[in-house]
Amino acid sequence: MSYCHVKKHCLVIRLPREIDHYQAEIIRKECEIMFLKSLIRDVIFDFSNTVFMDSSGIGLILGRVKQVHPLEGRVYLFGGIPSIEKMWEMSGILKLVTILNTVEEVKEVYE
Amino acid sequence: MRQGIKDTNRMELIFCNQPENERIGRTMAAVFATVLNPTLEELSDFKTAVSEAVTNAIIHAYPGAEGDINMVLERKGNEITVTISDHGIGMENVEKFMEPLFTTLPSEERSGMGFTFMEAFSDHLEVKSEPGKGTCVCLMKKMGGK
Repeated sequence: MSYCHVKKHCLVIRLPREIDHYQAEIIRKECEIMFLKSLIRDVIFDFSNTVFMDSSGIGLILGRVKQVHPLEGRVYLFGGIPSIEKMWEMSGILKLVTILNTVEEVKEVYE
Repeated sequence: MRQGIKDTNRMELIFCNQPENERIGRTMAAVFATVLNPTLEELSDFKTAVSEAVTNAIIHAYPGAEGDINMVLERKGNEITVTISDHGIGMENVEKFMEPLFTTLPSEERSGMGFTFMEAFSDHLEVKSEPGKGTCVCLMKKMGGK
């Protein structure tokens, strides 16, 4: 199963229902391949289907922030339920990423 | 609480350090807690805290080797206590390991937020560890007791 696809210079990651260490490793490896295959500047994490996350999800986001930094790319987060939003806030990553609130905002990133 | 359900309950699970067991471990803990009718938020916080503790044991306790992890679930009134222990490598200085952003595995993109989330998402957390002997994490969460 594939979680990633590329739209123009943007890597879109459709996250699974549960993001733990096991799942995060699978997604990380898939991301590495996408970064080798395509020219990627920005990354969108789509949390629309996600109902559970632990700190592994924060590690996954931070990893992509570091990866796009040299190209002045940005990391965007979309669709987190309240318990996931709470983890974004607590971890301090909101200083490094941009939240997208609507599908229109998501489209603006890669159009 | 449902009628006819006793005030206390106890369960013990032993599983090996396979990453697949992270999900099974936290799901078992969540199922054990459902009798207290927790809110979605309480259950989600609880699952995250348990997931952090189980994941730590799975990825750090037995580097490159197989080993068992023990999970004890206890319910007393509206409190659920989860004790996760291993007989792995342990930690020299627990306080240092519990600092936010501390990680021994930066190459694997561990965020170093595990203990921070465990603390934030439970009502009480106790960590005991001895190098070469193992680690024991005990976390308690009150649920559905309104």
